[in-house]
Amino acid sequence: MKTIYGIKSFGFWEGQPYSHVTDKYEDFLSYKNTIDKQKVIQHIESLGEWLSSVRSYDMFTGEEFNSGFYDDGEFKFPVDFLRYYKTQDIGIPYEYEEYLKKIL
Amino acid sequence: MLRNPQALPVTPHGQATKLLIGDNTEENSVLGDKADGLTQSAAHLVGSRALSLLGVPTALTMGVNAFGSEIENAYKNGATHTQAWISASVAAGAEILFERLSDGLKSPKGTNVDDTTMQTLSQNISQKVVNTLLKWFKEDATEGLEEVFTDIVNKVAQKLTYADKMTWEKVFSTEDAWDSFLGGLLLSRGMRGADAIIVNSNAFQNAGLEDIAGKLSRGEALSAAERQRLLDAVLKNTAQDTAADSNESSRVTEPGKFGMTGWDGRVAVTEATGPKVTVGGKTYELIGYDKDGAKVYQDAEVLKEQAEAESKQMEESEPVSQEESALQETETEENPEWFATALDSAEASSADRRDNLTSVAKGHIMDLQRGFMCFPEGDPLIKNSQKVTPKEGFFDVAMHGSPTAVAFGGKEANMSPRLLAEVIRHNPNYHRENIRLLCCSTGLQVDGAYCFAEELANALGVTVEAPNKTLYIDKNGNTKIGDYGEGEMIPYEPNKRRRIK
Repeated sequence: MKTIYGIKSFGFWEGQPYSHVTDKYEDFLSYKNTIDKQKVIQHIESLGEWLSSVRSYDMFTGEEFNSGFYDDGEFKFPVDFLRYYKTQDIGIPYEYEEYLKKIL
Repeated sequence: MLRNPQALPVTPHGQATKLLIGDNTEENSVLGDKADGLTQSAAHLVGSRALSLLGVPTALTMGVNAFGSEIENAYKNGATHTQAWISASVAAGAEILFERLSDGLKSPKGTNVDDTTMQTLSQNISQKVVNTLLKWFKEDATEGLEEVFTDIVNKVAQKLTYADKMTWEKVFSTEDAWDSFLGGLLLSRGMRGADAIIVNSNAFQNAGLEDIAGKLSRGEALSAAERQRLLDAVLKNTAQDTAADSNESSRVTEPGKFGMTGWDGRVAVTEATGPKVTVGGKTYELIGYDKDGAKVYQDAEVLKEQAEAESKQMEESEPVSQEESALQETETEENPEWFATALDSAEASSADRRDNLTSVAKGHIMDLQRGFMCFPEGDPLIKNSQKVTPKEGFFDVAMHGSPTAVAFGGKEANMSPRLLAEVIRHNPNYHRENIRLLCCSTGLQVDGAYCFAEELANALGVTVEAPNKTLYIDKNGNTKIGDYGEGEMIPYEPNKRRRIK
């Protein structure tokens, strides 16, 4: 996670069409969260996404989709992250998990 | 309201012209017997200037002030729209000339014009005009320069506007002056009002005069038959303009206030905030905004007649080839008829390698609240873009974009600014508003090169506002530019930079 323009950003890694890189995909494999994953997904999906016309590609399937991001309070992450969070065995940064535990 | 139904004095070749005022300009002018030569030269400049812009529709911004000033003066003198337009065109041309010459005078050494400066000027603008005018300029360079040129502006315009047939023949005694001036007239057709001068780059193509355009651009002489074809096209267009003179224009002269100016006096009537207003039993429709953001309305009946005339003209157009017909069928399956017309027009004139007409024709246009969009089917941005709040005075265009091209209905870039300009122009909902591009990075200049928005501004002659980074839109239509909102919408005004070769 990196703070960019005062915003705690994560999930932006090489190969994605965004201006900054904050982490590596592998970093998320090590996060072992205790929060209910489905709750997290529901919460993120309720945020509403900011979408652009720039194309992003699923690094596992090659599927094409609109790039974009979610803003959640002081946190920011790309729409790509939710896609992988849903389909892969990865976690969320602990700082974000703590935040979600407070509000969910 | 028909103010002055005089015939248009456009030709010395048999078309009768009507004398509006006495041709006493030479007697009263400081120009004396130079007036005819100056008139010819300035008119030639207008034509040359317009021709130099062939293929690049743009506004002659340098001459706008003179244009606006002279057009008002012409109307006061009882000119029709068309006469005032010619008058103001020449005035604008003279203004351009004056500015160019003034620049030359203010050379670093601050001295009088030297040969080098003259040569540079000569290369920059029409050789013929510069040679003619610099000669007199040097003679009069000691004092009162501005007055001399102001006089040129007024007298030249008046001569061309109000002179009788004999004067026209005298002024246009050489064929090449006629060729360029007629060419300029044809290209400049359609500019109205005192806001700007718009050159219609497609005038030659629309009139089937591409061969003549090529010759004029190369400075080659026209044959008698070619000159007649050019003249016929000008007369046809100006006849339409003159016919339009009988239709009263109306415009709002203050934001929010509806007034009928008709060019010869304002009649403030009522408030007008919606797309339609009814005054004295007549309905007026909002057709755009003037440079101050005031609403401009047009008689709804006139708009209807224009639409019917255009529709009839299209029906009467020549049959198309099998291949073109197939392309049109593809286009009209999902898109309105005006879109097919825009592509036809672009196909005839465009050679931009960014354009892929086959791909573009598959795009599916959808209306925005004020504008249109063309995203691939199922793109989530379709819903998001529809929620974007319109901006006063702007026409929105939304699709995938990049600094140099946009993707019309697709994911890959397939459209140049010039082609998009054609599509915008043909959209019946577009009335010369400024443009807001809801297309990623179309306002980003890379290494000083023209970006898409700047090229579009030059092509349309209006301000084009575009994001300089990735544009994000949420489900409520809110927008952010850049991943962290660090980008911005950049406004590009037409013709602010010299052309980059």
